[in-house]
Amino acid sequence: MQWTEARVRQEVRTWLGENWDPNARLIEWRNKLMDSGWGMPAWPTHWFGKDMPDGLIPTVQEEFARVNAVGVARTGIRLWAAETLLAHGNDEQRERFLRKILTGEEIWCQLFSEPGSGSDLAGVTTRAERKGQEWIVNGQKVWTTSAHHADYGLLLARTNWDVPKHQGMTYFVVDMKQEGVEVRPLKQMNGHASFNQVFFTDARIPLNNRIDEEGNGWRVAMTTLMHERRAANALAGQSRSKTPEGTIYEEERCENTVLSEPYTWYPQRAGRVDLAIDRAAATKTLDNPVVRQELAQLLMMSQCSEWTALRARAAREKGQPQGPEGSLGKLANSYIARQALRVHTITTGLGSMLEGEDAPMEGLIAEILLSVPAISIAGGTDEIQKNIIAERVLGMEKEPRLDGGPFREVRKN
Amino acid sequence: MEFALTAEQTQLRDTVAQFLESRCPISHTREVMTSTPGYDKERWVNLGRDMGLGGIHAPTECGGAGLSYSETCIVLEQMGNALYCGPYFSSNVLAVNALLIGGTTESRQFLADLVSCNRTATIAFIEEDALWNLSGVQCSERDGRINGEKSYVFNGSSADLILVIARCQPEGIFGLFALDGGAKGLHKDSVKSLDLTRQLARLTLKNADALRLADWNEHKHRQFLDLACIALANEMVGGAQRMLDSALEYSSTRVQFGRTIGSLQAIKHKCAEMLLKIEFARSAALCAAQFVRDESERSKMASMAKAMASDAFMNAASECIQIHGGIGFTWENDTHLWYRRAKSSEVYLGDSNYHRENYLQSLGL
Repeated sequence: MQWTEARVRQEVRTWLGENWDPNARLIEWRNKLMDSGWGMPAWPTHWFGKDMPDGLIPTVQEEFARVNAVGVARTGIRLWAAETLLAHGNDEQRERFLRKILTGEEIWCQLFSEPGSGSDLAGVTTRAERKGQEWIVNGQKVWTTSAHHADYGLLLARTNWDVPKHQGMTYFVVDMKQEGVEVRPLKQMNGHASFNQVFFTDARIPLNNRIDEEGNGWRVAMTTLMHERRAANALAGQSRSKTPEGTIYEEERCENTVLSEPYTWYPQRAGRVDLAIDRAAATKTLDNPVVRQELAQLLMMSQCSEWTALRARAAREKGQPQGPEGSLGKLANSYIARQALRVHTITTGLGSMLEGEDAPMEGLIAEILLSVPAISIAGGTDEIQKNIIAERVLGMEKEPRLDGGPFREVRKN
Repeated sequence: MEFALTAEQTQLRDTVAQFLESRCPISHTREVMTSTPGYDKERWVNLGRDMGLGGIHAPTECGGAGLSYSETCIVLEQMGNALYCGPYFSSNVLAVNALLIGGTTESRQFLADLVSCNRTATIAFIEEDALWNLSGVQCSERDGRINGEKSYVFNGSSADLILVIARCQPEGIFGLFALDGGAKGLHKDSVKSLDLTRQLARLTLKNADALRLADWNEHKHRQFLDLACIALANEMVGGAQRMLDSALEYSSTRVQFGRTIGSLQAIKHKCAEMLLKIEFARSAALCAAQFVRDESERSKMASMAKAMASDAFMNAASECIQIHGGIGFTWENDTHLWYRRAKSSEVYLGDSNYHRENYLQSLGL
């Protein structure tokens, strides 16, 4: 039977009417979502879904929002971990992991970046060696969000040093609660410690925790990163403005408080454009012509960026070929954040020398000033982003590479 | 608001682009820009009359196509891209806008002639002490005769019909007037323009015969300037895109150190930044065109479009020369023709500093 918007709306409404209970236990309710297929409706019917086309998912979300029904767990890397395992895992792995990722019972982290491979992710040197019925892992990962809470990690490790770099990696699920895995917090320049360093010393992975074929790790990692980008784009407008009545929301809030903690400074990293006008008024700098110029520039960039994203979406919806406007968002956000930082600095003036509770806005301005430098690095530096735009969007020639041949012989850190 | 072109708009864009590419290539522009009157009349008639672009947003009862301002802007974007050299912007956009805003039977009587390209027209509204407002206007009319000076008049020497904004009686009232290009008492001095594809004139009026078309006031003047900014912004986006395309083309063929310069990150990063600025400007220009009837938002959008386009075009033209290296600084290379257009358009109707200030004021700040 074909899904249509009317049918989706009617079925989800009926199902919610019969099943939704704001006083249910959170895990119990989410298990119901997994069993019914309403938690991940775009997924196949035999794997917790309803085979629904992507275009109809907003309809389901609207109906959930209408009655304030809680959805599957989305904190941290859950969604892209689940999508990766669905796409590349075998049936046994899907059976074992998918449900508890999405009910929120198990916490996951992503072990990709290393001290020696940032922009060049394919240069990972954490090694996994097969010994008998298991893999033995040694090496170091970094920038791992929630590693100290995680039950499992998605690990990209090198298994073959004698083939070119992209061909020698394998993707694993690693048990984080074992001897041989040491997690240490990584304190950032803004004082927060949202990430961790993870050290592997003879950590063990059972054979059946290898995802996809040996040597296919890069391809699997690309799936994870694609879903990460997609999730980042879909993040806007997900939060509930007011908590409704019901015990389930209490449980949800506890879950969110723990796992959202690493992200509290992310709005400051983006520059807090929303504060700019009020700050100019509060600091009585609105009659300063330099402030006016920089503020106007910020507001215009912000507006144009939003419209550029809407143009990309409109073109997609009309089935028009993807224009360059769809690839600019990340770079645009960096420029906007830096412009916002400039505005906050000149409106705040000498107050920019202060940090902590006695500083302007109880330290919020200082947090902006100290967090913005991350936005043009995290998730791909501006420089890499510009290379990608130049090569994939503008069709410019790729840079000659010096990292071909067996990885063993490639120059490394 | 519409964020994607319709199928009809895409077709319009492609048709105009094709015509300009085949009939008005830059080699042709180089020939006509030094001629008198400084453009190819036949090509202008092809565009305006034969292709029906003479009055895209003018109502059908005046001979126009009755489409929206967005369609006019789509055509202008292509003209900016091709560096079209002709009186389309001055006659078919600025003068037509002024007559439409004038709104009287008298002002509309000229529309059919302009739309069908029987005559060229221009509008003289800038004075040394009155750039983007009415309060400093010195030109004044008494008993059907105008005295004063107007500067920076596009195609002022060649236009058949000249529209003039002037003070009239009683004190504090302004009017929109029409003068024949050959009117007695009208002295037209061609001035050498930085943009070789846009002829400029300084007009001196000494008891020049003029026909009063309509009342004019700050409100109408604001509307006229906003529409002009939106039109120019769209034209500039086209020019900026051409500069990026030209830089990409050159950097994919120019080889130094055994590799194309386009494979160097220094060049790639310049191009990516050009693209970002152009796409922001395109978003602003595309959206602003949809606010022409919205009194409360129009000025804000016009200022945003003009500011973003001014900076994006100027940046793209400068970077295009830089990426071309030495050859980019030669007369023979075409880049400087767009650079000249970029510089001239950057300051015409107010530069980006001016429009950022205007934008904040429109927000009530």
